[in-house]
Amino acid sequence: MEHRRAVVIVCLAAVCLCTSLSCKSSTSQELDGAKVVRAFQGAVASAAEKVKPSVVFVEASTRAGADETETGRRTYRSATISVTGLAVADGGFLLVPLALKPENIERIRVWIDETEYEANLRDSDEKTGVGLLQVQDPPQLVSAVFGDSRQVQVGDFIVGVNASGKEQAFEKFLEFASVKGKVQTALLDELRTTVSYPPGGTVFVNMNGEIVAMSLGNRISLTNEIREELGRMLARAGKEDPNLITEKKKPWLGVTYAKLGDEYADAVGLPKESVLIQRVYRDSPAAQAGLQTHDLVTAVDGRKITKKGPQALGEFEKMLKPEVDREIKFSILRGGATLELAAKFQEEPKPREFRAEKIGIIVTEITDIQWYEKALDTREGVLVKQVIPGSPAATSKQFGEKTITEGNVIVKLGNVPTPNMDKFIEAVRALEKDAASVVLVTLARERHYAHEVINLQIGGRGKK
Amino acid sequence: MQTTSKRVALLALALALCLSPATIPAQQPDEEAGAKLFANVDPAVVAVQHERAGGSGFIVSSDGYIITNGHVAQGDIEADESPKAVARRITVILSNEKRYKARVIGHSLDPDVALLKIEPEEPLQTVTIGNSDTVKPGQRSYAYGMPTGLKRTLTAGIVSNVERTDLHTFTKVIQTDAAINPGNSGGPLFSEKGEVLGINTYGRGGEGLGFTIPINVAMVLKDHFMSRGYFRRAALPFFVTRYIDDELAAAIGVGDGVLIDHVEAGSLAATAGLAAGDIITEMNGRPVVAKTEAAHRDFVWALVTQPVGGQVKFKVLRKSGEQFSAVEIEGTLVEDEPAVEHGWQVGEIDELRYDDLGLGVKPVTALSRYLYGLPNVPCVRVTTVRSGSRTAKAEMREGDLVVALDDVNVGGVEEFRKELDKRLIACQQYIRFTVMRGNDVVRTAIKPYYDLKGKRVALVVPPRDAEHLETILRFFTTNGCQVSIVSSEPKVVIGSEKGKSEEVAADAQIDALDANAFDGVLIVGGKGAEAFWQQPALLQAVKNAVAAKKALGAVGTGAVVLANAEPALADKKMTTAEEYSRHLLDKGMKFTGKDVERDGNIVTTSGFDKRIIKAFLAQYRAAVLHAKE
Repeated sequence: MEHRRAVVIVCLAAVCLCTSLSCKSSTSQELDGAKVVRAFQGAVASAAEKVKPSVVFVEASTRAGADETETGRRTYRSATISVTGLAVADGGFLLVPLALKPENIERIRVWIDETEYEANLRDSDEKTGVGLLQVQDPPQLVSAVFGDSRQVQVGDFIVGVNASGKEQAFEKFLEFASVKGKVQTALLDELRTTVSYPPGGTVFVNMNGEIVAMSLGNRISLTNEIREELGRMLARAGKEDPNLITEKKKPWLGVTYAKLGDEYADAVGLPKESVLIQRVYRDSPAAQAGLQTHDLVTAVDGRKITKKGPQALGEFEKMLKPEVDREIKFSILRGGATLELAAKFQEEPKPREFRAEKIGIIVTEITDIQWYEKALDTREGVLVKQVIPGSPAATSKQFGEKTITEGNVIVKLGNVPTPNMDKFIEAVRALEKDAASVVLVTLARERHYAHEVINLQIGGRGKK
Repeated sequence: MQTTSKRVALLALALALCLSPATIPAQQPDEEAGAKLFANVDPAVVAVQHERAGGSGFIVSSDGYIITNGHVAQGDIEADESPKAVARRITVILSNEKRYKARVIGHSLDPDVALLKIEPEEPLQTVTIGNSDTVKPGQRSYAYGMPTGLKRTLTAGIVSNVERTDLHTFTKVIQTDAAINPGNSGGPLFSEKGEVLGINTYGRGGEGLGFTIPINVAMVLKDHFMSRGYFRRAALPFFVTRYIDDELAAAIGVGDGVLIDHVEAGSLAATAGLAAGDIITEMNGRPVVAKTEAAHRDFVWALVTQPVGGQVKFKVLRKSGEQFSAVEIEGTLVEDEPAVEHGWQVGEIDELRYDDLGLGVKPVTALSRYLYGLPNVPCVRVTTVRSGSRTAKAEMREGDLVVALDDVNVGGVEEFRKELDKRLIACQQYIRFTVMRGNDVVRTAIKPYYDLKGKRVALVVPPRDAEHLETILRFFTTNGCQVSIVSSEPKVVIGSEKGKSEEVAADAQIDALDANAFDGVLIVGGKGAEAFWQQPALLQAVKNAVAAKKALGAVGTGAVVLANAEPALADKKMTTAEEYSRHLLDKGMKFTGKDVERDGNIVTTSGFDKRIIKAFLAQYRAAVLHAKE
């Protein structure tokens, strides 16, 4: 087995340090300079030391892209991806920069302390680009500690740690970097550092040894959003996230708005310095205030909207100043009359969720938001939020068509109608008591009904 | 032996016809069998070609009916802006290399079958039709084709599968390993005995997959084409069924039958009493058993091939509590809506287009609602929004459902067209649209640009047999142009593409045509326009128009009027339909042969298809805008 030793390779951005040090030739100052450098080296090393036990080497063999020929043969393209995995919770859970699909994985192997282990993909998220692995029969691992990545500033020093590979000299490498900039992208906040393209999975710690950033192969992302997704993934896997960020209360009015169309404004004779209310969600502060779809907002808290078109939207958004419990006044135009309406921001409601383990789905109540977003036909039922990978519900039928997918509404379980969450939970309990191996699910999908059969005996979290 | 006596009987019959279909005894050794087959069926297989594609076909009746694939007969649906378009110049080539012009009696894209007709001088040899219900996997089969008319190909193999359903065809299909390629697509698949088992089909959607449409299916379609020109499916709309496999059977407690997945609220099926969750166990007294996809297709085929207007009786099992009760349902079958998404009943759904607005809409059928998850509201669906157009500026999107124009409900395409045309002809400044987008109701408005507002155009129209008149008329009227229909009779027939025609009163007679009162004169084409070629008042009007530098346009045959009227136009480039070119050349005109030709304010076109007409109108409009007052 490979002999592992931790090697500290520090490539000091010597220029930075030299300029900060006095260059006057004086023995005592030079000595002081050397002390500072050594102290600095020590600080870097110990920061890295804290996270090294949590970092492991992962190798995933994948097959991608099946080309089906007329006779039904599939040809695959195989690839092997090596990344660094990060231990995040007891039980062998690792965070990896891989958003793979289970059907594309051939094998995942992990090296911990010179020993090779098999691992399974438990979950993945395409948006953040990370996945959750679980090592089979894992040894004790130290779960990593995350810091608050919002604290990272341009100019900060950070240290990257990764597990390099399984050559003769297995090493955990360090990449010392300073932060050149922060970039907000559509997906995640990214860092630009003095290190280009660190290997996938390299975790960057601040000088306190807390993880603030992670390399996803082609970019370095700040970890706060990854942590949120990790928390969700661990929750789905039935684990509590040791690092759970308490979710902040989100202020909510329950309304969507859009710009008023030019031609429509001219056609009807409406003022263009305004914003159009598009949706007013049921049981929301906006609904309670009396707002209605197609109301035209001309002023907020007594201040008139002065811009037109898309700029009016920006102006309006600045006027909203959302905060839980804040009271806000709208001047609106409706059918030729002016109205003054007052609303109060509330905390964004979280619809009730339920995890039906036996079937393998997580469902939520149907709120008005989902009724609009998913263009549902009915509010009577429960909405499938997620299908748990590897479960009976995740088994595909012929031609890879899924039986149940996110967005389906379950209206009946077996013979029991499930118009709301309570009835659904009752039906699931009844199912658990029953020894049935198959269950008929009546779904509403895209405004029509469908019947699917879930075979409760397949899938599930068995060991390989 | 049966075969021999059959032969004798047929020979007797065939005396008058001089020909008889050939059959081959099955006991002959393989090589000889193939060679004999080739020789015997050769005269009954043909090559089918047109300007865009080609394939094979086979003769099913001695007076010249030929079966081939639907896609082989399909025309340029883009150019004609109609999914119903068939190829215009189809040539059928027999094995003796004789060529015939063919017309399309009917065609369908799924099942991919077409029926053509040629007019032979003598009775032709036909194929023997087999029975695809008795085909067995493993039996020998031969695919025969004549790809380019001169090359005959015979490929041999076995029947690999008799009920393939994974190609998403309307019926199950036969699979053979005899090579099927673009050339023999549309040609017959023979049994060893030389009986046709099906139509070989290649390249559904260009995927390069070969399969065979069972001949029984083709024969049903042939009957439909001959009686009414299209495959008229029967339905009790709208419900969707699925087959019951073992797992589903265990879950619902019933093994035989089909499960109704969905019934559209308020539809005929709902009113008749069908409900989602019901299990159909009998149809018209016969048991329904569908444990596989193939059996399910058979059930659907049995339903849709019933006569429209007839009664259908179902026996269904309905669960109430833990028990099943049997319920009898009866309904009257109606004609099924077209399903262009699948190529079924090709062409009945055309898109209604407003090119200047950049808008295209289509009607919504029950199947569309099911497939796309659309709400059951009276509306039309927006299917085209051209980027940069007026419709795009109004922020309408493809997939939007238009429910009202200026608060007037529009329940279907006809209503929509009536309301929108009315407003465009009146040059209304803003037209408000109310659309549904998902569960959102969006209000917007389009501001059309009437660039021909204030312009006047005289359309010289033959009283009958005018071509593209509707397209031309709508183009001008919906652009704010004042149009005068000028003809030689008080009434003019406007034929629509759907086959319905309307009679309108002409605004003026040709005798009184004063070119100076207009910005442009456009002579519409069609066979009827030949009557105008020497019309003195018209010739004079043309001369006046030329002198006054008005926009002068001519479609197809109309160009001959220009040639006759004005020798001074001899230096102007012109075009017309190919068949009429010699009239121009005889008069010494500069015939260029292009689809659309513009020389200054003289605009002409061959008028071959709708796309060319639209290109012509764009040029003519420019000429009108530049014409002298």
